[in-house]
Amino acid sequence: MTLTAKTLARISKLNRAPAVPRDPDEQKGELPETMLATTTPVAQAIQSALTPLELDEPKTATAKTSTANQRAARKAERKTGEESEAASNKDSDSPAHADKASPDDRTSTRELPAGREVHTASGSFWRIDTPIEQLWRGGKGHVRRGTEFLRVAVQTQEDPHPELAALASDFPDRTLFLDLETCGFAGSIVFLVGLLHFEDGQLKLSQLLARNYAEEKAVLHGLWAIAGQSNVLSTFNGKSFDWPCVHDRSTLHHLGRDDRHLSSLGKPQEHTAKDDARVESVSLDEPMRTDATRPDLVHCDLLHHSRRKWKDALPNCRLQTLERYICGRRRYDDIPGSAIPAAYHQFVRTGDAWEIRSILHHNALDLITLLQLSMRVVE
Amino acid sequence: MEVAQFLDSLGRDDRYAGQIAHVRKMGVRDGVFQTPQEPLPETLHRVLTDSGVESLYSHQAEALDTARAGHDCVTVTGTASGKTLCYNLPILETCFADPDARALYLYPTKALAQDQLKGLLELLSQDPEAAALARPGVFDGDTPQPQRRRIKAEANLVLSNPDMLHASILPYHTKWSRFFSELRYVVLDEVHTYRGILGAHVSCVLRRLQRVCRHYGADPIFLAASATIANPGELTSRLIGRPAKVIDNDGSPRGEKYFVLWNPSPDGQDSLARRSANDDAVWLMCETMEQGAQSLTFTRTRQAAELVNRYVQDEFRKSGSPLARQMRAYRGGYLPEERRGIEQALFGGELRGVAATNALELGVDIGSLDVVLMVHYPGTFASVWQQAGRSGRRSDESLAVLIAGNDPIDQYLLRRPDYFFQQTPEHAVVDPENPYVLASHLKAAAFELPLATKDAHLFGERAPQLADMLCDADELSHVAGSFYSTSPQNPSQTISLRHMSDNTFSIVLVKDEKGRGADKIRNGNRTQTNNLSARNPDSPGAQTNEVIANVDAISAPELIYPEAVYLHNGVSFFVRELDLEGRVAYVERHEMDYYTQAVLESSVKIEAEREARRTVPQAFLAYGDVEVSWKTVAFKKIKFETKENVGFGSVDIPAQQLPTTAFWLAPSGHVRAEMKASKMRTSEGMCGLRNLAVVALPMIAMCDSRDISGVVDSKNLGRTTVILYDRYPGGLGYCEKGFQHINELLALCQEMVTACPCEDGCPSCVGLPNLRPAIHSDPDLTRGYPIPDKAAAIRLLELLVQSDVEPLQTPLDDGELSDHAQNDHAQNDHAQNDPGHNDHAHNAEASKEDTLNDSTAIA
Repeated sequence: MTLTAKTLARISKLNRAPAVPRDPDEQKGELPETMLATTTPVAQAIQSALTPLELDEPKTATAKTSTANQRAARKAERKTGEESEAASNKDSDSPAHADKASPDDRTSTRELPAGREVHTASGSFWRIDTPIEQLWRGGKGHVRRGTEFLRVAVQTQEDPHPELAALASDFPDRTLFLDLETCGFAGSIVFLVGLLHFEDGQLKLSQLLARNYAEEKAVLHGLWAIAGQSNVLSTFNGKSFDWPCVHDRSTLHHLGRDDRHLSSLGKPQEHTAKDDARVESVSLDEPMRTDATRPDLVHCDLLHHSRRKWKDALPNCRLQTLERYICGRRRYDDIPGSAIPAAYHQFVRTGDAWEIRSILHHNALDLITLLQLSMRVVE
Repeated sequence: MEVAQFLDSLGRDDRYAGQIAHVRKMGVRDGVFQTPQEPLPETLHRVLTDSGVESLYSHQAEALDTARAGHDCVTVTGTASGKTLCYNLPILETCFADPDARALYLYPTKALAQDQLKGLLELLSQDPEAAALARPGVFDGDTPQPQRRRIKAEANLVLSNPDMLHASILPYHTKWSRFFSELRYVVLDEVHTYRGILGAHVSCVLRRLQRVCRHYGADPIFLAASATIANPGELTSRLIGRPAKVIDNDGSPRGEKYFVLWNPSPDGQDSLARRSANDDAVWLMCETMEQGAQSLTFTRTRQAAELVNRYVQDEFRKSGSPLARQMRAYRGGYLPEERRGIEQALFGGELRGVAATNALELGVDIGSLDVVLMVHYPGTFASVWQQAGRSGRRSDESLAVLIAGNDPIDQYLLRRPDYFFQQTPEHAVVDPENPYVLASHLKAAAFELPLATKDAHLFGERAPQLADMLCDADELSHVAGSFYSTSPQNPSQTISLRHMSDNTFSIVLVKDEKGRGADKIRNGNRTQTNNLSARNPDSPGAQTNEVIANVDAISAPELIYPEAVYLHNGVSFFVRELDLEGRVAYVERHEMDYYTQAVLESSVKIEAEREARRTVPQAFLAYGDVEVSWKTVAFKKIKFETKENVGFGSVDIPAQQLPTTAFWLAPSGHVRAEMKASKMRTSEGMCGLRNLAVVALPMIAMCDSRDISGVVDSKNLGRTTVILYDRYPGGLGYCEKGFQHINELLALCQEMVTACPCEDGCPSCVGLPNLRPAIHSDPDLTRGYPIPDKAAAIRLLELLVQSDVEPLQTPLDDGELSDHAQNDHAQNDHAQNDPGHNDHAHNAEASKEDTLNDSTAIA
């Protein structure tokens, strides 16, 4: 059962291969022109809504790994980003990265980002809320236009995929965007649930963080309380990973009953978004009973829809590839997914939130990409 | 068959007169029936009646009553006594009454799980109502992914193995939450196989299982079944961590059974050598099969099984008998489909004869046979009775024959039939608290569910301390009163429950363009073939390759080296290429008139000394790291039938290595001088000591004698040294215990050897009963090993143990090798003269013997 040194070496080799092409420009040249252009009239009408965008970089995460080269590259990239944004996005505010803290300033990083402690019947956790506008300057407008685009696009289709139809009808106010960060592969602890959802009349990022392993149950309880408010779940690869993870870990903590296999063996159900009676409400103050049915959402896994749409045009359909070619963004100094578990363990051991900030940032970027893809995935 | 008459006719046959050394009648027994305290529910009664069971034997009724009362139990009754019903009765009763109830069946091998699945399905086949209520399914490493999901969701009786439970079920228990929350019964069949290293691991796995069940609110009852061992109740209790009731009132009937000890007659030319036991087995197989009996031969090696099969087929072919087609070989390495086919044909009576290794010793249901032949003493008494138990009709007469080899051990047993029949089966020892094993399972447990302090009592007293240690090493993290796993992956996947790795080589038949080559073997697994072709696009004829067998990685270099002749069910194949990296041997179908025998070289090398002690005043004693390695360096070509050596070839493949821990003990120059003065050889005494210690150490270290091995060697320290090592990569602390308790160990050895009533040494003292030759080779071609001089062992132990001798004032390192010692070494202990030296090959081989079992259960 133990892996041989040879196998380990092979796996390690595989692991070290870059997830995205090292020289993206080279790859970009191979892409068909049509790829990045929108072809339908509807799409053209709102193309401006989906131009490349810039995100606030985390105040601290840059210094650690960036080299002079990367910095130069980033500078150049930012410039082109600004230009395109300025050119095509007239109603947006000034560039988003105005306030940059010194990258070497680590003094404030020992503490968690501002948030609040949420108390539940399953314990407490740390919740960090960020309005969408803070992450994506002008995002509100983009989302508004994207919503229209989605609806029109679905209507023009003869037989839209039921998941996409559900997404279009409930976007964005009854849609929950979800991305997990875990301690590893299947069966390991979920320590961060990143959500984009509509609350208090606005789209916001809510990150539910377990400050240690023991807070996982509270985080999941918090998730179920929020999930009950939505009809549609939007994830990337969530059908294989995130959502089974949420259910499995909830089962472990005796939070409700997993009824998925009873209804449809995990297959997408017919869209029943308007059937509000179905939605269970989970209260934070009361324990989730072991026999309670968990909120059931129409699950739209964008990985499958992206594959359907772009698999011939793109080198692969990884999230970061889509982010680069479809959303027109690239990441620098992002913490690699493989380094996340160790970073979290380090945080639990030392209480130093330095690493947590880069994980939170990584998670936020994933969710913004998810939001953007949701608006583009309907042909 | 009429056994008495047959034996009588043998006695009159000139060629075989005098070879029956002893006959013992095992006695007829009538069936004892009993009704359970509460009557059987109607459905169950109907299912039993439909399958021909009218009433229950006493042990079956008692097992049912015990399970109904909620007690764990272990059934220990003879082969074919209806043990399976002992656990199936309460389980079927429960799941007929409660559709939510679940049961988990654990078998030591995948083959057994398949066999039991078949049995369950047959039992239920007559009754659609029962079949709807009891839905069995096998969940093991061979179960295809789509089926796994169905079994998880739908099966209420899940048949699996401990390895699968350990690596693929418990770590993902949330997927099985319904199953665990309704788990009523856990079956542990063939529980006697869970001893030593495997037992230590399985006991930890079962504690993890109990913890997960409790998490979901269940507390299943354990129903075990065991072959005859000395302590089934103790073994089961230790495995499950609570008392188990022993059920041994065997009520099954038994026809007359004859047990014959057979000694091949001395060869005419050389009175010291005897006829080959294999040849006599072939002859007895032919005779009994012609009499209409269904016969089974057990051999100690895979090659011997192939040879016996081939010779028997040849004999029948010569005489034009249709029985030639009704004879087969059966051993580890055959593909599952082929094995299932043989088992079924044997059960159904179409096959009249099989030559098998101990792969057929475990309880795969092949029905009861008329005749069992054992070629050579199988190494343990438990095995003798298990193998002999394969013959035995409920009403007819049956026969078991032990055909002695030329080995001193075999000959000893033949000379003393009373000793042979009086031997009690071996004790099965298991240590659920072995710290090395427990530490790795605590990691796995913490991954499954955070490990709370209250779990300590489940894993024993040492658990909290070990968990703290794992925390210090950053393998676990202690938060809010519980230990959490920090491993990104399921830690179970890196923990093997068995001695050695379970990597296997595929034996691939390369067919020529016409697609010939596989004419005799029709069991190719298409899926595997395709996979292999895909993996080896450049290999010759990749498109038409076909996997015909597997072999474990440990044995591969000994069986399928380039130019080897690979025997498979009476057919020979030529090994053209061995791809070590791809783990494939490419063979071609060629009818050869010879077979090949690997020549092995093996060694135990002391790598690093961790600690040395003066606890034995008259010896140098140390504990540390060793590397055991063995390698095929050449092969001999042996002509079929005549066994002439017709050529040699060299083999260039890397050595197999087992890095492990060991202790070593080298008597002082004073001891050796004293031995010499008594006209005894130190090295001979050392071999006796080694053989005694391999039996005695398990009592101190709580392991099985198969978990350790030892050599007597003078290459490492320059003088005769006994080295005892753990047969598990990295070691499991058994020999470390021997090092710490060396004086107890020596005292125990001394007691064993002085209390033994034999004159010159016997398998109970200085002779090692479980020393085996290489597992693939033909025992006819390997020489027997002498029983070491008992007096020398006794004298050596006296010298080592006596406390009135002045401790040596010499340093603990090799500086102790004084002139005196060097002389002694030069005269007496030269490696070439060391009678134990040649045992190296033996022991390295012995480290693989478990692979001979059908140990393909690994998930």
